[in-house]
Amino acid sequence: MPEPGALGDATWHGANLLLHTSLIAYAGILAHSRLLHYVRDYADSPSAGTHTFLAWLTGNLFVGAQISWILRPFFVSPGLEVEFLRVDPFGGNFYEAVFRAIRNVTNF
Amino acid sequence: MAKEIQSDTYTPPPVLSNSPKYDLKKGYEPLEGGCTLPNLINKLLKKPLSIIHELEMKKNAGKITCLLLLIATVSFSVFGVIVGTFSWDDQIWAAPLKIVCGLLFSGVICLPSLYIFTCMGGLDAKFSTVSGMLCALIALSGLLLVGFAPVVWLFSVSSTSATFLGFLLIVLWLICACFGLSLVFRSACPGNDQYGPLRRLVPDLFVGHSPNDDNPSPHHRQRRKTGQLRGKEILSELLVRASDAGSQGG
Repeated sequence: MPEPGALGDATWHGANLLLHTSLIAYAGILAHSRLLHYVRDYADSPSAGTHTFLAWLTGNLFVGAQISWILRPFFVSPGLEVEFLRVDPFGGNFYEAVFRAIRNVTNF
Repeated sequence: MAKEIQSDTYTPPPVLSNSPKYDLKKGYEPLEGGCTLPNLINKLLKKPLSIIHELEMKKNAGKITCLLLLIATVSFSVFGVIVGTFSWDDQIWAAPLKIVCGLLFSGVICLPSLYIFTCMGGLDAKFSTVSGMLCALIALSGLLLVGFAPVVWLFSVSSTSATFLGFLLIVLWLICACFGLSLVFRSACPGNDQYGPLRRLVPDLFVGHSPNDDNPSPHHRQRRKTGQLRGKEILSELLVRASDAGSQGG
């Protein structure tokens, strides 16, 4: 693990951030999928239940990611203080941050 | 020889069971609970086809259309204010004004062509029914956008990228428009004889063929009895007819 300010620290941080984000998303999908058969049973038809579940899952992932991002830091960034909430919690969004992380990893 | 005789004999395909999955006519029933604003909102979300039924039966058609327009105006105004929170200042009032006026103007200029296409499809739909259906489409889209308003607000106050927010708004708008259009498609559901004249709109406009032709094939007739004619079957029926016509012509 490179020290903050050392060569490759942004790449390492970006890769770790993406890995953690993917793992949390995977855990969320897995937890939600436990409810799938209940929704399918409750709905008028199994396919309607599946569609409802997918819409629900998409909404939860999409909005949950942003709310988590507003409540950052969970995963501290190099050069920034460890604090309960950032001074500018609304300055940007999760998807912009992921895009930046991908850009750091790929150097694109 | 025996084989040739056998191949000429028509064997109807197995009839599918009446699965609720394909019950597109569900909800096409008289409007219960009266023609009030809360009831219309409720029915628009739960049983939108009951509103179409009410419009076709000419019961309170004018009042329903006005209430649907009111729902659409209020919904899009709320959504516009939320959109305006991205920039604040003048956008707080300009965004809802532009959204509402633009949408109503779009509806007005699209209504004649919708009615003409409906008539060209050989339908007997009344102008008031078509205009009511368009209002229902807009009102349903508006209600769904109000449902997305908290999500839009969250991203509006936190995003710094106008591109991202613009993309998000377009995607949400498309989703809501698709739900609104599905109401039109369900009103024009093929293979449903209880739907009135609007049932023929979809196949006539997009396939150039109506399932209620005067000369249905035995396969088609069999499937119509079950009320389960679907898009793929309409297409396969067209292909069968085309090949029949080709062989007869040859």
